[in-house]
Amino acid sequence: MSFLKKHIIPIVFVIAAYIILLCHADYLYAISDNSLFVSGNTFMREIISERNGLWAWIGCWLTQFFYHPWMGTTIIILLWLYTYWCLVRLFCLKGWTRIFALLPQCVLLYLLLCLGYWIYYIKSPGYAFTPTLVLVYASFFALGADYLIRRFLHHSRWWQPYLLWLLFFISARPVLRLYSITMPDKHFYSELRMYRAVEEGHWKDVINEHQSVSQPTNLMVVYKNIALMHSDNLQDMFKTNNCGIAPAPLTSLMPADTIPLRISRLAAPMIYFQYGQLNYAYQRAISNTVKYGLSARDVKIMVRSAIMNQEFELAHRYLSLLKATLFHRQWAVQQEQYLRSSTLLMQSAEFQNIAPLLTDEPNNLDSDFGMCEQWILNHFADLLHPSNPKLEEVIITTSLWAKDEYAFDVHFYNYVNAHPNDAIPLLYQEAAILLCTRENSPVTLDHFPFDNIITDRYNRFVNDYNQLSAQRLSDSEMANRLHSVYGDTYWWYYYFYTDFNIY
Amino acid sequence: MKRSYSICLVLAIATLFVSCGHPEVPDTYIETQELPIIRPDYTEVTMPANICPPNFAVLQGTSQVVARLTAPGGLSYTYGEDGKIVIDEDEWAELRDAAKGSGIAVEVFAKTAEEWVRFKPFNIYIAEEDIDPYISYRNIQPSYVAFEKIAIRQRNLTNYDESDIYNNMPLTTEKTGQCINCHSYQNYKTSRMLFHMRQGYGGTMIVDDGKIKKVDLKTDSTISAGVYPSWHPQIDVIAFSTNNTGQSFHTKDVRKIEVQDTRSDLILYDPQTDEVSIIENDSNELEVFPCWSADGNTLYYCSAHFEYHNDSLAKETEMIQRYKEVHYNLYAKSFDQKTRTFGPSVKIFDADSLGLSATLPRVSPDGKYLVFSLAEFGCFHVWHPDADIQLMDLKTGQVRPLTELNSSQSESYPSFSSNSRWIMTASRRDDGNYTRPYISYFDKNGQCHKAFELPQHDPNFYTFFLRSYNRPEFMVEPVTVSVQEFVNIARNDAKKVTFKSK
Repeated sequence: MSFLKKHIIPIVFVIAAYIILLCHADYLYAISDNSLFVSGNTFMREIISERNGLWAWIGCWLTQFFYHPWMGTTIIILLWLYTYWCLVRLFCLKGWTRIFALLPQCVLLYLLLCLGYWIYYIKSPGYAFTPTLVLVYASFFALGADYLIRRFLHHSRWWQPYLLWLLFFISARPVLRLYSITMPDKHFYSELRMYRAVEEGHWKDVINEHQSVSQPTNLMVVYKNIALMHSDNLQDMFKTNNCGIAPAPLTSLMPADTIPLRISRLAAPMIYFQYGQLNYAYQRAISNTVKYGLSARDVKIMVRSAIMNQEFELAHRYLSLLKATLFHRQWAVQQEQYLRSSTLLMQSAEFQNIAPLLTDEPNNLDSDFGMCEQWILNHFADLLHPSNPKLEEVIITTSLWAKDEYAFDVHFYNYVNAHPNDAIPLLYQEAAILLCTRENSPVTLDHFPFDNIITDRYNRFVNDYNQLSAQRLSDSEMANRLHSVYGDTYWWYYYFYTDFNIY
Repeated sequence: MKRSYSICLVLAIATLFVSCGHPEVPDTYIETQELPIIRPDYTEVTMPANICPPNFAVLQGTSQVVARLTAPGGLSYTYGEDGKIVIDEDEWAELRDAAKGSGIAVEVFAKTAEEWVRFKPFNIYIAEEDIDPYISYRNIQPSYVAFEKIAIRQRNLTNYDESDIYNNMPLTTEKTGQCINCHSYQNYKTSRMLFHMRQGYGGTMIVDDGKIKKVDLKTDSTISAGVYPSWHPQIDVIAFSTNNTGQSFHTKDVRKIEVQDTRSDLILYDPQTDEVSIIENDSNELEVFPCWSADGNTLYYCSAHFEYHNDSLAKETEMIQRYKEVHYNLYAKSFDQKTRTFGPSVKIFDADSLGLSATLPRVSPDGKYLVFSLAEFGCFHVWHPDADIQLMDLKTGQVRPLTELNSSQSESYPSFSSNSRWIMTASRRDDGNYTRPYISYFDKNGQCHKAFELPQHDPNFYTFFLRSYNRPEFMVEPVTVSVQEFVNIARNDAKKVTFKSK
């Protein structure tokens, strides 16, 4: 009991820190996923040769433990406890005043958690642990110096209050600085969870996460559509919220002098891969590693792209890297079997998802100019001659997603001709009744047998729209009023999703 | 107490000796007639008489391996630890010297789960001739969209010493990165050398008789600043190409990236007067990759005939649409060193007529041969797996592929050593993506021998090193200008050169 009483401050801190950190488990995992520690001299020399390289290398080594968030959390809290102990000893803090010794650790906790989208842009490997390591080093050094001074010079500790204030100001400065550049965004954590679910092929989780927010970001919409595509539910594209918004930093909080947030940086390799664009997936992944350092997520995309592209020697190189890590070795060993057996590869769920998207279209020279989402929309909307039903569906729905009525005209015409005896999906009918009845549409649908249910609903939509329009309501008011009745239709998306903010 | 300390000390020293010693060849083993699979592959290669030890990893069996290297005369050493054969440098020198003109026999033993296996022995042949003691290259990650850390480095081939000639980190900021490229030397010596810097602190760094200056080679009358350089072997002039270069990305092709010139010309730069003049600037020709002959009386270069047909399209767009039509031929122009004037162009290899494209010509210092890269189309063959090195006999004009040097992946940027006995190429044979220097012995009869990968101290180095070796160049001496000296000059504004009309 007396132990508990004596150490109540650090115990409370440890419990609180554990709870706070483990509530951000997805975030901590993402930090480790955006980093990669490879054992061996070559990797060490590459990191250590840079400025502050030793800190970065140690930090990078420790960061890998966030792969299991509880493990990384335990390590960082132990380091914080050590610094707490040092500071208590250094300042001879007693009783409640020991709380001051936790000030730097609270700052470090804040620094770790408030990074948000910056985890994609910080180039220093091991950044999650580096400030903690510096504090550990400084505490150790200060304690040693203090001991020597007292032992040999017999000086009093007159300097302690000044040092405490200095510590306070040093601690406050990075927090204030960071606060001014942080990019808090409520969607950030959803995007992290969705990325992981996409990577693991947990399509239901992706869709559930998407539905858990009222206004998804563009990236969440892309993830959602990937999940629908691979779970054969792409016809539900507009029944689920397809109206993405830009995350907060782009709209208001992003200071002008910081780096613009781009889907290309956040997830382009994964998006391209899921859409079967292997060259672009590889290209974006390697560009990320060039600009921001090695990361497990990018190396894994490079492995997958190389395997699918049958560049087995290249895949083997990256697998060798992953096999020299603590936590990605097992994944690498699993992937390695695909190098030996094409049968196993073709039987894998991932291959079966991607294979239909590996089109027979001729090779093109192109560039995404850093706009991944735009490129996907244009590329698939422009594709002709789909070789399988999945690709056909992707092409048609993407033209609708992009509101590319001319592309849809062509795709719809081709679809109807290719499936003369099949029932036309309701989504296509919805879009056709809207787009192909335009005055300048090249497709004639005079005698097209629309389902009555579609025709009747469309007529009601037009009436309701005209009535609200006559009342001179704003677009947003009209959108709100019509959403409850028509929010699941392509018409509502077409008319009211106008803020197509590609980033 | 003292005694136990002494025992511990003796044991420690003994352990140290054992770990530094030579492993025993196993007494019993089974033999196989298969060659061992080793990385890098040094089986049956021919190496220079002054090269560092070719350490390698054995990819078969467990990590228990032993290799016995035996030179003629019986000198023999064994190595092997943790799956690697790491050869002592002094002992290698003994073996190498003893085997000069013949070969070192290498027996590899590997422990499988049950027993030791002795693989079919192979030779590492040692040529009579040395290789230039230094090479330099640009280490860059193979992504041309983004770049971050780039270094031009030099490597001592007689050991493993490597150092930066220049790296871009001191002058790189978040807003303006700095790309560095195209290092070049006069006649394998480093007292006259150059390289380019682009974006931040852009300009061409010229070292001329030890003096460093930074110049801006762009004039109103030329397409761009100097790009691909060739320093005249005797006099102080440099031929450059000037290029409007763009790049785009294959959606499916394994080449991934296509780098194209929409316009390009050739210029001559005089470092003494800081003047540039036109060598070739036909608007329907894409002239590039100048290369002087060893005597300095001929300038070789590549040129593709390309006429734009569609005025309504941007040149870049039309080039992207017709990129497979770009075929470079090899040309030669005579050069009068006294008057510094050029003669007419003569086509010496018509790659276009074969539906192919020839790039990156380099002439042997003995003046007998020219090597170049040949692929289906285009100028940037480092991304073309079909690119192979070809040899032209300058006396007969006959061209043949250097099969022993080539692979199924891209070979580009060939170069001769200063004694014409070694050919180095930037090859992507390891994995199709990362360029590594491969060196081949080129004997007096004009025959190439199996190429070997630049040796590294750690045999697994290339597996974990994620940067390419671009533009490998031989040097007879190291660059002595320090990185800091280059940085100090790089901070200054570049001196504008003047254009001299014909």
